[in-house]
Amino acid sequence: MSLISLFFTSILSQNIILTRFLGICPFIGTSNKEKNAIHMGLSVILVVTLSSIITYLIYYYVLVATDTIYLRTIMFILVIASMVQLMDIVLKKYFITIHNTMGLYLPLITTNCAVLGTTLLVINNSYTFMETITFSLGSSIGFTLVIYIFSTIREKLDTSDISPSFKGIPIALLTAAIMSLVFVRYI
Amino acid sequence: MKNKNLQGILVLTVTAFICSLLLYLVLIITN
Amino acid sequence: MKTIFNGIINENPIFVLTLGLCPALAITNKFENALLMGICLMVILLFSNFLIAIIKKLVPDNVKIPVYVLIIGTFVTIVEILIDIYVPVLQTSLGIYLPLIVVNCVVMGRAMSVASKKGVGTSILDAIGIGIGYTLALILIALVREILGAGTITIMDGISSLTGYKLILELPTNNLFPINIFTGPAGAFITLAFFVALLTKIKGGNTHESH
Repeated sequence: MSLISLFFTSILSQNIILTRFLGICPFIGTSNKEKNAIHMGLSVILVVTLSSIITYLIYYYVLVATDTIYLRTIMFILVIASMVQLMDIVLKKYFITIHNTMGLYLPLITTNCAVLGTTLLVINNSYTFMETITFSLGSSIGFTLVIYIFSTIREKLDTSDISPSFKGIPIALLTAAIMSLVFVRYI
Repeated sequence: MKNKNLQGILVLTVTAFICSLLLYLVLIITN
Repeated sequence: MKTIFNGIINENPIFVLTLGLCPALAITNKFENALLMGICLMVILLFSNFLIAIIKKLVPDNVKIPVYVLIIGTFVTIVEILIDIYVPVLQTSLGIYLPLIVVNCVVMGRAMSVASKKGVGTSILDAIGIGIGYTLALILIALVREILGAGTITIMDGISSLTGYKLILELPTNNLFPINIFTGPAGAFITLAFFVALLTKIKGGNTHESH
């Protein structure tokens, strides 16, 4: 599969949130302000792409070499946690306003299914190094795209007239349903 | 402060060690 | 006893707490997959709650998260290894969602809020209750999705190599059903949305505030 088509597939028809259901927790739980969504999205792009590259290297040059593949889950999580920690430090030093507005949501990226999910998908699909970079970039951009679109819709939803039992999460899920239909059948 | 950090690192290392041991055991038992 | 029922109804992880939704949307296309995923999660939750409740006094606050992650990760890996050896078919049906239990908000969430604060007994009961609640929720969603979307109920197909049984119930199809949308991602979102709304209504119409 060509890199270009891989890139666009991972953003659109195999969108990491709307098709693979990874990254749902922050998607439903936050994403109510546009600015937060963008900050979250950018951080995720960085963490996912870097982690995918590092975990790829560790998987093939360390785990496979020493026949300890079973350690991958733990190893990957440790890499991701370290990446998030690194981001935390870098943000605190250079972009302290962003750091403060993101608050608790930054460490939450560690438990974001999307990050670990992408690194595992890379291994499962046996991507080459270039494909790994393309895929992880594409998936995380897809993630950012979706939570951004969603955040713009969300604010409108919160102030409109919806029956009480549907308010909040159910209506968010229904919106996601419609979005997923659009993304998957974008042709 | 220093004592807490040291204790933290110790616990982490011990946990990591025990976990790897556990996994190794499981592999040996099932092979 | 009350703790267990709490985990099933009052604090149902999927319909009330809305945690750990990733498998709820991804694995619920077949009844069998949902059931097995729920069982795996309950087992892992049980062991991790148990162990964390025991060692909670030894772990200083600054390393709580990495230590818990290590423990949960170890149990997940053990389950992965066992499945890989004894039921490799599950590897393909559960896919990456099995190792993803490590970052499942339910397991980590319960570890932080229950196992690290309450006693061993409460932690175990909580794990059982939440586990049952999670599995029930998963099964319900899967039933709706599979019946409406494919007209079948797969009770035992993937692991038939282990148990020797194969049971797929087929429901009569007509021009209205099956509705294809339910087997796809959109159907998952729709089904979950209705269940959450239903439970909100039953519990007295408290609105789910978006946090």
